[in-house]
Amino acid sequence: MLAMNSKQEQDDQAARWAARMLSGDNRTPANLDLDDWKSENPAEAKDLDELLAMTQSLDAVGEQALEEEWFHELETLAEEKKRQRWFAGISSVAAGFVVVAVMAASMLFGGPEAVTFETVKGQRSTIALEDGSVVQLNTDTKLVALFEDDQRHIVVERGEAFFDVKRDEDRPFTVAAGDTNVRVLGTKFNVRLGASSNVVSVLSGLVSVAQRTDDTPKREVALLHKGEQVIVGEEQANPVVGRFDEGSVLAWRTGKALYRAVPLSDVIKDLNRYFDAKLEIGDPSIEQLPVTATFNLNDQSVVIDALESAFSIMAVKKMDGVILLYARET
Amino acid sequence: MFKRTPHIRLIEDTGSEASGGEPGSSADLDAQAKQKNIRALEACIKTNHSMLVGWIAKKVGNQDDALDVAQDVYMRVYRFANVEVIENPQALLFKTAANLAINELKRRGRILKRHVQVDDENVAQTVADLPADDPTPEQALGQKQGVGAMMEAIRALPEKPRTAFVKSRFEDKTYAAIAAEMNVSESTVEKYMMDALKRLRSRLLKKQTATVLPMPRRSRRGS
Repeated sequence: MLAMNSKQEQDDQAARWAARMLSGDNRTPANLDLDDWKSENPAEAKDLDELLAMTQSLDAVGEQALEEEWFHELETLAEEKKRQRWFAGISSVAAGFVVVAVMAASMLFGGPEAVTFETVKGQRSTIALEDGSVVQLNTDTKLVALFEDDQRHIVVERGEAFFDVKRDEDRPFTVAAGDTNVRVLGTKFNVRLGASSNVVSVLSGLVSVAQRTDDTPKREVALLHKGEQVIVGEEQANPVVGRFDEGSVLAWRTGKALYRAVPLSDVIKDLNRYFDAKLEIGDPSIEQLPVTATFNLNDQSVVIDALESAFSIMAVKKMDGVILLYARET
Repeated sequence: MFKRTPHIRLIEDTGSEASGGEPGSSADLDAQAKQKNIRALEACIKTNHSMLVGWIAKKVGNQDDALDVAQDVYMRVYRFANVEVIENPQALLFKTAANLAINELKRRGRILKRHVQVDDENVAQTVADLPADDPTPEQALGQKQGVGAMMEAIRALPEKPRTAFVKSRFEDKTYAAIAAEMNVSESTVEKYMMDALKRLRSRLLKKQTATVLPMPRRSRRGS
């Protein structure tokens, strides 16, 4: 028993000396101390020599061991990055706003991470998804992304978004917007969730659009090619595929709204998506006024100025913040 | 001293006899598999690029060289993807990065110096001091233990002592530098070293007491 204890003790001393001698700087203990200790403890000194010799022979596997250590370092870093990536990929386009990204509860249970992206009124935001796809959120938009090993799901809960999907045959990309379901491989397209109808517009690639109604299960209603658009709503059983004006549908991506001969009432409805202060028409005579214009969406007062000067309209702000538009008296 | 011909084990292993030239559908499958390889790699590179460059820059000391090394890494993994099916693109990427970063630093003589010139005074002296008739522990080690056993012994170390030991011995870092990296005190690093040395000794030198094996790593985590 006693012998074992003293053996233990002696091991520790040898290891302590070795650890000190290997520190790598020049503060190794004075050789005198070491020599004293060695001459006083010959058995321990031999242990120390053994330890140092062992350490030296381990240099033979130095490169391999270092490679494994560095590999391990990289894996740890990647693991950390993966956890942060959802946040890091977010870049806010509209100044002064911050995108809200909330980890859904599913993450707590170790499943795939469902992540929510949200913009407020007037904000636009571009998000790089983990698979290399990019999604751009228009004003007042909310979507949830859930990426699994064999599927990529997006749910548009509100608003409008443009998708540039990274092609991956083994991992189809689906976008659900209300009862409309869009399935793609790799393509660019725009989805707008409306009150009564949803609009899917395809910039490139091939997109399958399916629709579910209260009485029918989900079924494909359109197969869209480049330059095609479909409007799916409750009332249309067989929606019609048509061409679309790329400029006006996608103008929002550059912070603009573009209208070509659109009735003022529809223009106002569309513009109201972007601003807190609501615009209303106070004069029925101008509801059908055809508007052909490009508006810069960054500033509502600029939009109103443009309406006033180009269309003989007068804007009046009410106490409750609503802005009423009248025909200007001439 | 070191030629600029960094080797990659993974690539060398597959070499020239990569199964080529099978006709018909299996060739198509090959092509498909390759396409898939490349895509998986591209995604992996895209995801990890900035992290990798940052990590390499920390190792080699500057951003420009780091970008060069990263470029070299990508070239090699792409070449590899053309001849072999890749099961884990991230592992391939990181292994290659670790390997090339080591080559780069070795070329500059910044790490693993003892491989070329064993003149660490203390160590060399103590080995020389051993009585000649008694086989030195180094010889004993060399005879009984192969490279495999040494690697196993290092792998079996608990995470922190292992990191401290590897960085000290093979990355040629001082305890002070390691302490800063691991965010602990120098005396803690010294303790890790002691722990590592003792565990290595009990595995590699004291076979008779090997009944007391270190606990498996997994169960020690988090303690």
